[in-house]
Amino acid sequence: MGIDGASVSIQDLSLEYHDFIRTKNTPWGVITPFKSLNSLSLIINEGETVALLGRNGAGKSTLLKCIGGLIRPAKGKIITNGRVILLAGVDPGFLPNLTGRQNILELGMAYGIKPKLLIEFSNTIEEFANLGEAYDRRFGGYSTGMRGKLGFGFITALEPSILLIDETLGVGDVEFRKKAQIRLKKFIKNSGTVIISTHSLGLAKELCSRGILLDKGKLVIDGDINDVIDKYSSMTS
Amino acid sequence: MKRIIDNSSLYEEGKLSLDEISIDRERVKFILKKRLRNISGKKRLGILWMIMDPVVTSMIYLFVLTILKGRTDPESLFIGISTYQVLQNSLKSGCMSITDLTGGFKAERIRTKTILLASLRYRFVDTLATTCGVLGVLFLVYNIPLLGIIFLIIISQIIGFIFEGIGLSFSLTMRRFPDLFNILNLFLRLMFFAGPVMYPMVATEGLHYQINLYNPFTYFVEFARYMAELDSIITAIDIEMASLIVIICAITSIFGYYRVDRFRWRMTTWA
Repeated sequence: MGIDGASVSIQDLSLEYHDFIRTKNTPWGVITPFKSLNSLSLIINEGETVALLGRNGAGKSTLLKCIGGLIRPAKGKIITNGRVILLAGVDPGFLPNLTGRQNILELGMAYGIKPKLLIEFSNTIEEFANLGEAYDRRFGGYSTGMRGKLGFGFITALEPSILLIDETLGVGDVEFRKKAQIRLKKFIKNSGTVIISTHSLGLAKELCSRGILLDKGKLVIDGDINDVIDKYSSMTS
Repeated sequence: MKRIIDNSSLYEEGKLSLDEISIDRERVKFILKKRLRNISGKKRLGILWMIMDPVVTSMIYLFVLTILKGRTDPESLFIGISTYQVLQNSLKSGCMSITDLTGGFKAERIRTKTILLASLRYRFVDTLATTCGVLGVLFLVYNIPLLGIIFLIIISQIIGFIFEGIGLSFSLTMRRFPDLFNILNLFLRLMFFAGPVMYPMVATEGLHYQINLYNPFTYFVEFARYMAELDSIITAIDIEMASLIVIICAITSIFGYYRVDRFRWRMTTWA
């Protein structure tokens, strides 16, 4: 599929972070740019599930944030077709002083759930997250695992055209991870494009047909998931 | 919706659908409620604190000044302190806004227009809450005419919107040089004591008077005092200079509102 039919099209993308450093010689500080992504070009077609692999600091999370429109490229262009949701960490913006249910209802409206579907939306998440009576307790008192369940349940219930997932499946207990995988598979089946950044090669193999390997911000290999995993394994062994 | 992201900006092609407009409206409401909740937090009296704060502050200074000077002008002081608090809140809010230009949405980038609209609504509510307690005192206790009350509401709102925009135009610099925020605090403290906040301009003279003519707040607060039929220098000022200062403020403010999307985009890669 060409650029026109692509869900995400990345052309010659480079990205620099700017760090403010103060040393003995530069007491007023200097702004130092450092490259995080370097001349990446990719096309991800609608309906594809892509695993983004690479060591820590390879640029996986930065690439996802860039596709999500959260950070500014230094060079190049990204074109996305459809609504993009980034599941990074476990919190889509929950408010600590509201209960889980209140958060789902208020944030649900703000994320575009129609009022008549809101109760059903909340019930689906309640059932998935399985928080019991904690669903009506203050979100600020939740454990990291509970927050993860609620956040993952919330975002995967949104059904965006492009879902970007950054290591979130690592949250919660074993039972939850199984449930999350089932839900994610269902989501992938029902909707558009998914890009998952993960260190779990088993998960990548199970969910994705295509892999992209990054190293120091550069594209190493883009192709069949098995080939990419082999390459990644050889790099890390 | 097709979205194009490059170094200069993030822009969308095509017109927004009715659904998208409706979502944006919900987001404005969400951000507004979130900001108001941040202020009220777990406090039992919630937003009432915003109303009570300038009234209590004015009463404290009224007490102190009465002890020190023997007499003071309470109506003038109430107007000065409430308008000053509006200026302080809006200027600081504008300067600090860039530290969180996500609107609290961590899973999706929302339009800058939505965040801006929420900020403007918040500014309106915050200014109204900050002034309404003082308005009640002025109207009920000091019998300030209704026209003066109406003008105080309008002038406070103008101060709020203008200084929020001025704050926005400095927000990027403030983010890069956080020391400037301390300088701003010192400047605001100086303005509180040396500017016509606790006393009208007629109480100043010489260099003190001359310096205050360069302070944009002077023109807003003195106009409010004039409309409340209190001592004011508004009829005696150089209208050209006053217009110039107010126009510079307005232009700086418009610049801030206009550039906020670009500021927001630039700071995303600041580690």
